[in-house]
Amino acid sequence: MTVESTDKQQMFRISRRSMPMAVVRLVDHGASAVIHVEAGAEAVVAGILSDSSVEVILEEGAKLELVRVVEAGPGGSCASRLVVTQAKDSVLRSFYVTHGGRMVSDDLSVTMAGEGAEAFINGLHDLSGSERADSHTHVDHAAPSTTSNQLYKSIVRDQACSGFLGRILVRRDAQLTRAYQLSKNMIVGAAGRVEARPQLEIFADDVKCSHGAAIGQIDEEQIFYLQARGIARAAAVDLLVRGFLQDVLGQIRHDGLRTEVGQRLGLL
Amino acid sequence: MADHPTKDETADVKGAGDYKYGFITDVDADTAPKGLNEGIIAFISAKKNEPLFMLNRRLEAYRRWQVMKEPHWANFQYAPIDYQDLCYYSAPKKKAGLSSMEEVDQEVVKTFEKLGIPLGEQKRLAGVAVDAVFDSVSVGTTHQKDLEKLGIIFCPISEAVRSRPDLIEKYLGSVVPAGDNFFAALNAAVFTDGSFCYIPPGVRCPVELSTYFRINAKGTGQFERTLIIADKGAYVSYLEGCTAPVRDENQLHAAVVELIALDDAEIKYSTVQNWYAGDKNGKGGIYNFVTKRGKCLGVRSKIAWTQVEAGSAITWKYPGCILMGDDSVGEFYSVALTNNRMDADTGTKMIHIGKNTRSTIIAKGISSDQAHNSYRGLVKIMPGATHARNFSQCDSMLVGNNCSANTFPDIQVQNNTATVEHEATTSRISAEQIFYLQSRGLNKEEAVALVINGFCKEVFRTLPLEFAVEAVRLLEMKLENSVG
Amino acid sequence: MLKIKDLYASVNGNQILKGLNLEVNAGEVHAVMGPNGSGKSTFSKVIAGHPQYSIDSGCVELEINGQMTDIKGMTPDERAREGFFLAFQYPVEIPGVPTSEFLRAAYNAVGRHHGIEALDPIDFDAFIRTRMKVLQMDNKYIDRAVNVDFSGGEKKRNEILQMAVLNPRMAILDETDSGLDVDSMKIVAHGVNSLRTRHNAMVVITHYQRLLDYIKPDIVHILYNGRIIKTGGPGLALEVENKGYDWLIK
Repeated sequence: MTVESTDKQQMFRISRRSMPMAVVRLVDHGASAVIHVEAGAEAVVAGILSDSSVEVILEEGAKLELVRVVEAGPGGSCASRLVVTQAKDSVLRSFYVTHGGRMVSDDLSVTMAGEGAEAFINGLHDLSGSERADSHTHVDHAAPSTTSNQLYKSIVRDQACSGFLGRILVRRDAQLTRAYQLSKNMIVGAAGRVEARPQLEIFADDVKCSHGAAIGQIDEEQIFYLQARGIARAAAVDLLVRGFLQDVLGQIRHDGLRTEVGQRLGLL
Repeated sequence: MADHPTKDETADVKGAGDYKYGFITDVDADTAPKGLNEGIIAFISAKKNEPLFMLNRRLEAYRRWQVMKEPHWANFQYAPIDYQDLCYYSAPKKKAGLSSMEEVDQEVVKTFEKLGIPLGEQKRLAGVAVDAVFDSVSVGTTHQKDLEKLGIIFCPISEAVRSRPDLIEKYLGSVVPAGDNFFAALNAAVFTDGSFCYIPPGVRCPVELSTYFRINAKGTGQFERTLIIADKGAYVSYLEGCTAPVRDENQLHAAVVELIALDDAEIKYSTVQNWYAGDKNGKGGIYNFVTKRGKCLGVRSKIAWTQVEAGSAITWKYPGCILMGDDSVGEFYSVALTNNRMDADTGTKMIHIGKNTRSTIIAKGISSDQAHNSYRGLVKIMPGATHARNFSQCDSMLVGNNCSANTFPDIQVQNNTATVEHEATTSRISAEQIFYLQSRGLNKEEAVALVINGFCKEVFRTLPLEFAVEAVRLLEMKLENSVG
Repeated sequence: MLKIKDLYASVNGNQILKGLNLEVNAGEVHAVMGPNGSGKSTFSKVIAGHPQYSIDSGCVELEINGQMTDIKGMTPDERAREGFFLAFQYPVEIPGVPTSEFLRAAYNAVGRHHGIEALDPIDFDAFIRTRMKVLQMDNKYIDRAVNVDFSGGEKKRNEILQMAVLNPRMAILDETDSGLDVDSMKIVAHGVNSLRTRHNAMVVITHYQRLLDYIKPDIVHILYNGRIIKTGGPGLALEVENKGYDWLIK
């Protein structure tokens, strides 16, 4: 692997010789990074970021797991951005997590330019107080037989607000595309708010696409069941919130990173 | 005003294809000159013999409209509309004071008969009371006497403005105010006719009420206005049908429909919209910019919209419900079919304000040829709407590979006891499916119909039977040549 | 152990229990039988403290620290920590929460209340496996989310496993036999019987006599229209099995 960093930009070039794989840490300069994974190479990259712009290039057959923990600090604001271009048969696993802030937004754009590319795009908003977080995803299926899976979950406590806008575009030539998107939100706080806008734009006919959004609260029957086993209400709520977030957290394949993120969120 | 006979028209417009309602009726018409100004509005108001408050409202709406911009956020493009090049009033010439069917121009009566809507009392449809609107005026309403016995008012809105100014003043514009949007403002300024319906407390309207809209005159916009009020505990099922002649120019249709349901009342509003959609190359067809909205004002009230959108070059329409009363219910069932070069941007708005309010949205979009079909919907749960629930399902089907299907839901939840679910899928009707069914003995049309029917079943189920049959036939006809 | 005096209780504004009286002593197993809609499930939910069920009048007393105590104001978890247990007729599914984590949280919550040291995951794992063996439960159950994708029999076994883990003094088993085949029922009954001691008590709610072949009751009650209309020995259950409920209702 070669790393060329300037004050303004970090450049990672990962080749097949960079194996065995290690977790590459992004440093938060409030600046930008370019991650270029060469054909057939694999990489795991993680970073605790604030204002940031990350560009990812995945060559043919390249694989990348990218975990971004975005922290604005209490009451702070930040905007992050991720732009990914995927070549043939490449695999992207992106995980975004934030506690929000006064105004925390993430723009994620994935262009699936090569046939057979696959993307798993996941996010988690764990919000309390009057924090706000917005995630925008834009997945462009520009080549045939591409697959995208998105799962975004939010926990909204107190008077926090979570926003999700997800756009899936399936171009005319992107036959046999599969695109799935799900936004699940749990409002725990009495004055919590959620805005979900999942969007599909489809121009090819032989595709399987679906999206869904669900907004709900903690099920009182589940609370009762846990209470009936001696668990106090607050602990029961905690347990249910953890259960709710379990599957999205499970999307992080790298064991060490999954544990780290789980601990950061107080989930483990 | 100038007499403007339409005699020199010819119905021979090429490329209209299978649109069987595309004929032009040859009637003597009383038509306003082209253009829009306060004078024209005063002319319309005078023609309708309206009380002064109506004229004032129209002028106020007109002034608001003048400073508003035509909305262009929908997912389609169209050539600019020249509002000064349109005619805002056209009526078949008639003797003053229309008191019986015999006095209606026989050409107009024949037109409706050709459309399957007999207006003569002796030939009227059983079980359906019809208000027939031809260009800018209502030409006849059937079953009126029977309905009067129950205290039901079902009449042209222009008549209601004169006979029930109290109800009009209270409710007209209370759901869709003039400033709501560009087209609603235009409608409020220049609307010419439409239906008015009032169901008194506790009355269950025994027949389906129906309005049939026909645009005939050339260069004429249609701006109808419908107001339905169901008083406490009342029930009414209302059907709306529409067709237009084949013309190679675009015609503007900008209607407003308002529904009001008081405590325990229920309104079911069904539309089979089959305006002329233009030819294969996208020439001609109706521009359909419609604002339809219902207000569940009372507790436990219910408003259900069902629409089958199969016509118009452009459809811009979001029938919605404002759920104010506690425990009120809003429903929206829609099938939108686009073929050739049609564009549909349609969906609904469900605004939950009251406690325990519930809404259901089932939207099915079918797109073929070079058409664009978009679902656009808003579900908004306000802070006071505790235990509100919404379920939305939006499915799209693509037929062929030059069309598009889009889904743009917007969900805003501001109450933590609310439950909102949205699901959407996209699938296609494939040559393999059709082949499979054909290999089991069905012909191609039957096979297509079977697949489409299955896809739209949940919506058709909510239509009155005759309407459901018509809707199925309409879709079959439209898709006949689309499946490769 | 449990004393119910002239209990009237409602759910959603409908009064279901209309003057129910029942007294259960340590070491006893009672059966409560009754036709559909007689109030069996309301009875169990009220005792467990379900928030949708309200006591209109009368009282429910549970023995706490050797004292009969009115439990009306207690939350469901407080009741559970004081040794009350309800085996649910319809166990609730909790996606994402592993059964092992749930059981340990419950065990430690109840244990802490009684001054018992919390078990760490490794010790708890060993403890739970011994309990699971009795119920012939596969080890992999505890890694799965609570009741999610469990078969009917697995859910009921999971209820009894929880009972074995929490070791309550007073347990109500609400139609634990429903949805069970004979083999599963034997396993469940064996699990329940192994938990019977001189110091605890149980109320078994059932629709059928079948379960009572395996869990032998000392006293049988017939519940009808929100009240106990007849009380007898084990023979009463057999009589109901043969003659139905009609003769009792008339």
